[in-house]
Amino acid sequence: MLTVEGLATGYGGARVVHDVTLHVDEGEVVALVGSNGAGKTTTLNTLAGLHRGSGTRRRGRVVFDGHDVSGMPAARLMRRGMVLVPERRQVWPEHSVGDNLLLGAFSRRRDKTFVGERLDHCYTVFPVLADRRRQPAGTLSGGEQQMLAIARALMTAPRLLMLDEPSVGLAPLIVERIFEVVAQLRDDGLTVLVVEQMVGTALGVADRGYVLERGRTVLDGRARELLTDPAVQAAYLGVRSDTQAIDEEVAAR
Amino acid sequence: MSAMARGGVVARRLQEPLGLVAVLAVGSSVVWWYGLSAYNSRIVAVMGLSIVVAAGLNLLTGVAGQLSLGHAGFYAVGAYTTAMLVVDHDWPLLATVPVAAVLCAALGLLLAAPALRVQGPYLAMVTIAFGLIVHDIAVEFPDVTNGPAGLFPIALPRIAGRELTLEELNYLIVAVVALTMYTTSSLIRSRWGRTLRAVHGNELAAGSLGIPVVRVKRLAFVISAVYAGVAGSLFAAVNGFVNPDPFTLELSILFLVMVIIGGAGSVWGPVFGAVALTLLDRRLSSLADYRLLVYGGLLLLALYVVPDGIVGTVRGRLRRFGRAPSTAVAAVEPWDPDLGPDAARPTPAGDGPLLEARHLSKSFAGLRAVDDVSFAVERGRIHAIVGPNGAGKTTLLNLISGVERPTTGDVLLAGAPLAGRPTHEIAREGVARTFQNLALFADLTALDNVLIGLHLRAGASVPQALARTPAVYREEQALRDEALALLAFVGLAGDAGTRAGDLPQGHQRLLEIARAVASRPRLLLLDEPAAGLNHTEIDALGALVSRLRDAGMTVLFIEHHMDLVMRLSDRVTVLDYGRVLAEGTPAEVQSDAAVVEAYLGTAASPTPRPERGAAEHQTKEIIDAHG
Repeated sequence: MLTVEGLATGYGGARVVHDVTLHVDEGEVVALVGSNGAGKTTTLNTLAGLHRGSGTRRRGRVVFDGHDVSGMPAARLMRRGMVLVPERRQVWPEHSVGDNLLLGAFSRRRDKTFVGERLDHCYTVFPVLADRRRQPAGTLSGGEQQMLAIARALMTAPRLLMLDEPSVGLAPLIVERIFEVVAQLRDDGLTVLVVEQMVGTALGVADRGYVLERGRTVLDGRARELLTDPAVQAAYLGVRSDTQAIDEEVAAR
Repeated sequence: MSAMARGGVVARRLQEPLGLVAVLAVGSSVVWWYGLSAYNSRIVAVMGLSIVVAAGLNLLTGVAGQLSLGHAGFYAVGAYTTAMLVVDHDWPLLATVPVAAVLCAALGLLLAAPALRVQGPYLAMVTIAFGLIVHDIAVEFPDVTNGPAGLFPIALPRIAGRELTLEELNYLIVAVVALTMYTTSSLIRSRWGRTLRAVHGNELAAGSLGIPVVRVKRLAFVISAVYAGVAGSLFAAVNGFVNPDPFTLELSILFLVMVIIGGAGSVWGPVFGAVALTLLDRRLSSLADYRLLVYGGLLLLALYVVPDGIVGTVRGRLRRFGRAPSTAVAAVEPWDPDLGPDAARPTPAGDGPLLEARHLSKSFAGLRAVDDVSFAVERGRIHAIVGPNGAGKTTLLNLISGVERPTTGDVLLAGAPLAGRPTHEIAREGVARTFQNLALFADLTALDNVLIGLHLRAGASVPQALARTPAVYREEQALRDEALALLAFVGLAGDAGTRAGDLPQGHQRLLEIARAVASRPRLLLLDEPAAGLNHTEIDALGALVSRLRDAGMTVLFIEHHMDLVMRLSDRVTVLDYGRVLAEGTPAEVQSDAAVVEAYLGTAASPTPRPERGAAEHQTKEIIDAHG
C-alpha cells in the first residue's frame, strides 16, 4: 500500500533523514522505532506532507496505492487516504470535542452526510468522546486527548493511519488501552504506521517493525522477531521493555 | 584549546569594539563624502538619527517582542524638550540631551504600565494612542509648544565656546550612532539581552528561571525610549526648528518598518533598515501622498522575499552554505553538579523536610483538581508522584512552583511559606522545574536556553551590560563554558548550536532539565522527564538524576514510566482524583491493591489481558473513571 524508497530530508542545512526505505502492506500495523534524533518524526511528517524539507533537497520516492505521491502537500494526501496523528496530539484546546472532530473532516466539509456518518462512527469507536462532545478539548485528560486526536484523524475515513508516539505522557493503563484501540482499528481493516518509544508495547501490537538509526532504516523484520532478537535488543531497543521489566519484578517477589 | 577555538574567542572578545570602529570609519567617510552639500548632509544626519531610534526600538520590539507603534512620540518628546529649553530658557543645546533622555525614560516607564497587561494588537493600539497624544499636545498647547508653527530658532550646539558647523554636527551624530551600536549590541549579547529574548519566547518559562518578567518589560520600554529621546533631541539641533509635522503615526510606522525590514532582533538589522528606508523616503518625497502605500507594499514584499529581515535572511543563507555560527569548543570541563560552598544557595542546615505541602487544594470552576493534599519531601531524596492522567499531578507541581495559587493550604520550603509568591521569587528561593508540555525558547539555540537558565547565577547589571566591561566579558565566558558543560552533562554536547525547537522531543526534555539544573536549585521539579525517551535514554536519565541527588539536590518528579519510578525513587506518592491514594516506598506502593487497580493495571499484575471485544467497553469505563 505504501512504499518509501531512499527518502532523505532535513532542516535548514542539516540533513536528518538520510535513507529511509520501508513498505506497509494493506491491513497491517507497522512500527517504526529508534532513539531520539533518529529521524522518526521527520520521516512521518514528510510522509504526511507536513515537512517539505526547506533548505535541504528532499530525495527519494513515496508511492501510495501505486501513485507517486512524493512531495504532495498534506491536504491532497489526506484526500487520497493518508492521515497523521501528530506528536503530542495537537488538539485545539479551546474548541469543543465535537468541533475538533469536524475540523478533522475539513477536507470533506461539503459532504454533509459523509461527515455525519464519520462523526457517528468516531463516537461509536470512542464512546467517551460522545459523552464529552461539548467540552473544550483542553479539559480532557491526556488519554482522552489522544483518543480525540486519533478520532479526528479518522474523520476523513483514511486507509493509512500514521501515529506519532501515541503513548507520550500517558499512564500505563491508558497506554494499554490506546494500543488495544490500534489493534481494534487494524482488525476493522485500517492500515497503521506507528512511531513509538515504548518499543515493547508497540512491537507487541505491530505485525512488522523497522529500526531507524541516524536517519537510516537499518533493520526490519517481524515484530516478534525484533522483540526477542537479543542483538537487536542490546543494540537498538534498550535492554528490556517496560512491561517485561515490571512483570519480572513482580515475578521475583 | 585549539587555535581555531581561540580565534573564535578572540573574535567574540573584539566584536563590539570592532563594530564601534567600523561604524565610526564608515559613518565619518559618508559624512565627509556628502558634507559638500547642505541637502545631502541633512539626509545623512536624519539617517544616523533613524539608526539610533531603530536600534532602540529593535531592543523593545525585535528582541523583547513588545510591539510599539508610538516611537515617534518619544522622538517628539526629545525634540520638544531640547527646543523648549534652548528657545525659551537659553540652555546650551548639548546640556538638554540628558534631560530629554531622562524625560523619555520616565515616559517609557509610564507607557510600560499598560503594556504589562496587554499583548499584540492591544499593545499596538496603546502605543499608537501614546504617539497621537504627544502629537496632539504639540498642536493644541500653543502656550508651551507654539502650536503648529513650532519653536525656532534652535542654534547649532557649541563645543568649547565655538558653534559647530553642520558637518561637525554630523560627526557628532556618527559618534552617537557608534555608541548606540556598541551599547545595543553589548546588551543584546549579554545576560540582559537573553532575558529580553526569554520574555519574548515564553513568559512562563522565563519566570520559572527566576526572571522578573514585569521588570524586564519595563526595562525594555525605558531603554528603548531613551534612545528615541536622545535622537529626537539631536533632531532638533539638525533641523533648527521643531514643529509637530514630522511626528506622525506615519513616522512611528516607518521606524517599525526599518526594524522589520532590517531584521528584527538582530544587532545590525536596524542599521540596514534605517539606511535603506531613509534613502527611499528621499526618493519618494515627490510622491508624498503615496508614501504610506509604498511602505505598505514594501513591507509585504519584504515579508515575502526576506521574511527574517535583510540581516536574518543573509545569515540564514550563509549558514546554509556551511558557515554555521561558531559554537564549537575544543574541550569542556565536565559539569560538576556539586552544590557545595560555591553553590549560589547551599541547602541550609536543618532536619525537617525540604518541601512540605499542607492541606493543599486547588479548584477550577468548581472542579477540585487538587483536593486536600499533604505530603513532605525529605532533603536529598528523590520523590515520585504517580497517578492516572487528570489526577492533579501537574496542578500540584504548578502550586509548588507558583504558576498557580492554591485555593487553600500551604507550601513550605525549608519551613518558609511559598504559596502565593510569584514564580520568579520562588525560583530565587532555589526551586527549578521542567514542563510537561515543554516550555523551551524554541527559536533560540540549545546553548542560549541553558544560558538563560544560568540567569540567577550571573551578576552583570544593566549599565555594566551596556558598557560590556571586562568583568562582564569574563563572566560571559565563564557562563558559556558552564552552559556547554551542562549540555554535555545531559548528553547534548553536539547540539549547542541547534535551534531548540528543531531538537527531537526527547532531547527537548533533556534540554529543559539542563536549563532547570543550571541555577543549581535546592529543589528540582520534573514533570514527566522520560516522556519521549527510549529505554536506553531512560537509563541515562535515571543515572543523571541520581547524580544530582548525590550532589545534594532534592528531586520531586512526575512520571509514568514505572520501571524508572521504581528504580529511582526513595518515596512515591500516588494521586487519584486530586487526593493522595497511597504513599510509601516503591515496593509498598507497587503492591497496593488500590494503586494497581486505579493506575498500574495489568502491566503490574499477572491477570490476563481483556479480550479484544471487551476493549472498547473497558476503554470507556476506565477513561470515564479518570477523566
